Amino acid sequence: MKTRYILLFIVGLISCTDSFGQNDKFTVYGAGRFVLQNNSRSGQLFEQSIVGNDTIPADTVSTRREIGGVALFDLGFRIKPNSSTEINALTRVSGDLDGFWGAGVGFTFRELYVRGIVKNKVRYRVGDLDLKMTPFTVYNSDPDLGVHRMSSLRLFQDILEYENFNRDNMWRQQGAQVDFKFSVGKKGDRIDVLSYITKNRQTDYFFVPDRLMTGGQVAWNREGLGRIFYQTNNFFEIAETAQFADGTSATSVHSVGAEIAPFDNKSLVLYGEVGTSYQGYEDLDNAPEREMNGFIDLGIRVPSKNNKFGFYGELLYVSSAFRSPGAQSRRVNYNSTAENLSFQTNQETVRPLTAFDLIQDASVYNNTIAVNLQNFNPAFSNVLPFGKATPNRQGLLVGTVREADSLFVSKVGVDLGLLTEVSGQGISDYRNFTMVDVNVELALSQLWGGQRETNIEGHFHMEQTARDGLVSDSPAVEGIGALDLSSNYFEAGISHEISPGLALHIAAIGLTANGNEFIALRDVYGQVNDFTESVYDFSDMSYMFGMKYSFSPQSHLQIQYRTSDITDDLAPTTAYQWNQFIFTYNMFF
Amino acid sequence: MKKLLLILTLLTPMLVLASGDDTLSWKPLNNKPSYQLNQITKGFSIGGYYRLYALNRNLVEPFKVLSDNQFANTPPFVFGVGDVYRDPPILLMTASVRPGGGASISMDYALYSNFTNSNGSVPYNLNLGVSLYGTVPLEFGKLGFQLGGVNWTDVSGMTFSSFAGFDRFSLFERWAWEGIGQASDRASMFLDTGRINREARWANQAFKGLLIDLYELPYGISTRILYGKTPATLSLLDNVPRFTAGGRVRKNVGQNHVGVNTMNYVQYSDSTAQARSGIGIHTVDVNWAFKKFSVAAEGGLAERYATDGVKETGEGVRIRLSLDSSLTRLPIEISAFRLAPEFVNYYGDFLSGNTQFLDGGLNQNIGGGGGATNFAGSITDVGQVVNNRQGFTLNTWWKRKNISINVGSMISTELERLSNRLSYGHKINGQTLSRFAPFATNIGPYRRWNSFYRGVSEDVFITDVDTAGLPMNRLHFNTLQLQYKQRFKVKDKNIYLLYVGMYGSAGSSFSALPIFGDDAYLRTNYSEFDLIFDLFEDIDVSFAFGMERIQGNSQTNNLYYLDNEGNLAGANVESVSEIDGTLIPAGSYEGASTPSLSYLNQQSRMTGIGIDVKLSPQSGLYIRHRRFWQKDDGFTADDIQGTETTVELKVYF
Repeated sequence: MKTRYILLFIVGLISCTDSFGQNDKFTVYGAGRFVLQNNSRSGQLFEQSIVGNDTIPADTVSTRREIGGVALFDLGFRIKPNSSTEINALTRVSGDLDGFWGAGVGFTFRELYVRGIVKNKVRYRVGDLDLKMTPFTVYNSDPDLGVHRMSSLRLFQDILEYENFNRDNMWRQQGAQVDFKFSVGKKGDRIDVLSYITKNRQTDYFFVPDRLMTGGQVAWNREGLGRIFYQTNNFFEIAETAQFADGTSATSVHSVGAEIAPFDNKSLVLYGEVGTSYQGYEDLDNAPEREMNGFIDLGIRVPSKNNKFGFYGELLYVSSAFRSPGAQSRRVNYNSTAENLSFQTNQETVRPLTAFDLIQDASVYNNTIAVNLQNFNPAFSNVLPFGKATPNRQGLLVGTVREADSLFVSKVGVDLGLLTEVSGQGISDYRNFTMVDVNVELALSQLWGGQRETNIEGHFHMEQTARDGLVSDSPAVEGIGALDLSSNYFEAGISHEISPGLALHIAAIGLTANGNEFIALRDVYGQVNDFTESVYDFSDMSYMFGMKYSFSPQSHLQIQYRTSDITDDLAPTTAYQWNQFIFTYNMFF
Repeated sequence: MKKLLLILTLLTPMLVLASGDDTLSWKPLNNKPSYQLNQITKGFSIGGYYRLYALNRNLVEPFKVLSDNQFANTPPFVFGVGDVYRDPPILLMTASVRPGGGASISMDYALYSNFTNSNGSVPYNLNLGVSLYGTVPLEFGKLGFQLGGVNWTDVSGMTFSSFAGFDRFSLFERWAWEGIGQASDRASMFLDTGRINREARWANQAFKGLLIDLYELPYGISTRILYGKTPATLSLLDNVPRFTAGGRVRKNVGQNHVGVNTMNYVQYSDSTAQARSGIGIHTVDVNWAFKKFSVAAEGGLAERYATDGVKETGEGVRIRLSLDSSLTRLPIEISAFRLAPEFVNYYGDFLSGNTQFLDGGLNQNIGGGGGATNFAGSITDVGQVVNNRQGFTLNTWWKRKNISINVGSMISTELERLSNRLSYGHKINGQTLSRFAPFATNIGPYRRWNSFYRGVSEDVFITDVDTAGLPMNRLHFNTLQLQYKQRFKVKDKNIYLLYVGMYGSAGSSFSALPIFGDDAYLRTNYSEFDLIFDLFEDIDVSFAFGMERIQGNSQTNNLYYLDNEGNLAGANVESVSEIDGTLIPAGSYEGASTPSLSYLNQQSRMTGIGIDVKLSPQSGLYIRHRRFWQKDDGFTADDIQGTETTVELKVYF
């Protein structure tokens, strides 16, 4: 199978060979950033507590304060030897605030790729690629707690996406890709072809073999009507690259889909995608048999136009063992250690991630595709923790949205998800999921026709998971497996422009979770072999105020003070308050 | 596979033009391409300089160092590129981008390739680091900021700056911060303006972090805010929080101002960030020019607090009155100062000692770190004031078209007896000697050398002390400096004669002039002559001669040893057996194993010749050769003799 994919790609590359004329051109691109933070921590964590008859000693080990910062300069060189070829190389130089006279300086290489167009028909790119297809094949789903567009958080979001190459739900991989189009049938009709091959994992030359990812898309576009497509994404390991590799695994996803606008005014769009996945193993002990799973996604969408509401509704089915690493890999890595105030308690345990860590700390994010389902925290995301490709889900997703800059209610969006499992985990009962997501933006200045913007922004996200336990006459068994978990996350803020480009903001965010959930424990093959019950009863609230100046749409200076209260009723002695002053100056160019 | 190839071959003629971003994976990053190299002023630019600095040192005898000293590796013969300092690099290349809207970013690559035969594997670094800048127009003023890398800045003289002095220097030496001017051009400017052309760091301090300026505010108000790091508050290795914070608020009226200033150096000495110590200095300053005179004054309080609860506060004040020549025939500047022992600041325009009780980086009296070491007992240039002293300075200038003379005098007295240690610096061979062992403390055959950035000082001890080991009387310091500059015309050629001399003393009683006799514990005498010829249009020749003499009297030590706490100490003894401490383990050196033949009696000389060649408006070649020696009639192991030749090629771009 792997030979076939590689040959397919080589065919694409061969068609790209050409000679180019010289047309020297050199441009620069990149980013610059300065961040200065003063983090301090206080609260019950640092005081002696009495719980029942036990005296819990105060934390005398963890630091109360951290001061640090960094300045970095990403300088990229875009070299165009001719009009159809472009080489991009992005270097990073960072300087720690504590480094004087050359100390604390780091040099890294952020990206390198060549791209071009052969005879103005075939495009290729070699090196760092940014890949995205559909949410079931290759897609970097939004992170837990969503994407933070509120004006007080937007700068952090931009930095996170830039740091982890997550913009526009893409995955950064290294390899090569080719795409081209064929003209077919009537004028305007065409077939688009995309193919790529990437190296998803580097061998250690001993036990871990190289892993490649290949795939592509063939789409038939009918002018004025829509398109139908086939796409595939495949992972496979090459045992020969590691001398002592036990065996290899491979995962394939194939799907077909369509997006049809039956009316000329495109007022209605029908879309759908159906696909399968295969996961197989060779020469590995106790590996499961090759298994086929699949998904179905059928929907209808009325686009928002002319300040009117748009709607969508779709039926989703993803089988319990559907595996699509390109779509299911998660951004947030709950095994990571937060950069700020990393440890706590006298045992120096890793501080659990908070909502603000997810908003601000790029180091808690994954930046590559993993083939196995990764850990997640149900308190942060439990309904679709792996995006729309989350396995073992079926149900209905509906929503409405309207964007109208000129109106008082400049943006409103409501999404509702009603889902259940496809098969029970541990018991025959299914989990039932409810998800509500509301986004609202109010342009207060529209009320009085003010020149300077005053906006209220709000985001509310609620998730509810419930499952009845076992029904039995035996009291020892009755209720086993029952779970009831609810989590609520909100963001709310006001921003007011006090002079051109300069705005003040005040905002609050909060995450609460209450209840219990059984987290599946999986073996190396991703199969569930046990469960562990987790109980949640915590509150994670943050309040912030600050100001932001925009030099341009891509250059911002933000000064912000934040205070966060993290309390856990199940571990009251670890409650703490985290105060942060953060100065951020960021520019993209 | 064959079918696939066949299909692709058949379809090839049907390929259509690529257009737009209609392939899902092709969407580029949201980084707009920006600035072309041939449009430098619009956005992206590269500037900097190339500075090749080749050095040959040849000592008649190896520099005598102690075998247990980590710097015991100074070779007698050096032939190579670069000296021992990282600054400046052989190539400094500053890349800058101005994306627009008042924002900009720059970084300065420091590239070293000192001919070490490390072909292809020479590491590089940044010099000052990555700096981001911006200006924000506000309705009530303007906001400017500098962030990130090292920026050279000031707050006020006492709170954050460095001693600017009166430019009483020889021009022969090529310092790291010299530009590309010819020697005669520099001498001409020096004679005509009294100033030496220097870069931004002069009289400023290095600061890293957040630097905000608010200016053009209503009522002539301006402010500067600093929050970040100075070398004293770094925590790169231990991650214990430390920071420097300060700023100023000024009321400006034209060129005059009244300001309030503060600087604070704060550190936590434990990993939990609970035990705090630091130094704070808070002043008010005024700088006001009237028609025929001007006044500059600064005064305030400084506090030091340690983790053990010790807290001390002291006052400092300095007033300078500058009189126009229309009042006094000659321009005269008179200043008075009083700086309490507790008035401490490493980054002000005065020297500080007396910080031993502070922790970690804030205790800079440990010395050797390249920052402000203990100069508390030093004989300094006129105007270079020191804490724990009060006194006066007087300066006056006389100038005609081709002759310039200035004289300065400083008288100061200690406020408290704090130490029996005196120190003095080297002027004529200071940079040359500092290259022997950079940033080192207590080196040399008697452990009395302390080297700092491109300079060396040495210690001597008063032995006329009480039971606490302190001098019997408060010390009195005098410094007298004279500078003479003259231009001769020989046909169309200019010849410049420059002289600068200094006589200093430290004694036990007040004196209006330096003490020239043995009543002074310590006497320092420096003379430097430069003769500069504008030989050809693009070639200048310089000759230099310098001499130093440092003398201690019979109430200073004739033996160096380590006291019971391991610190360098001095004693005046007949026999080494009288020492309650550890003899410096260098039996082969006379002064360490037996008392010296006399007290400190050090003499130094240098003769030099230099050639400046102007290669282009942006480049020059500078050659310097010196013969130098230093010896001490009493401490005979202090015997240095040799030559140093440097070749500097500097190109700006």
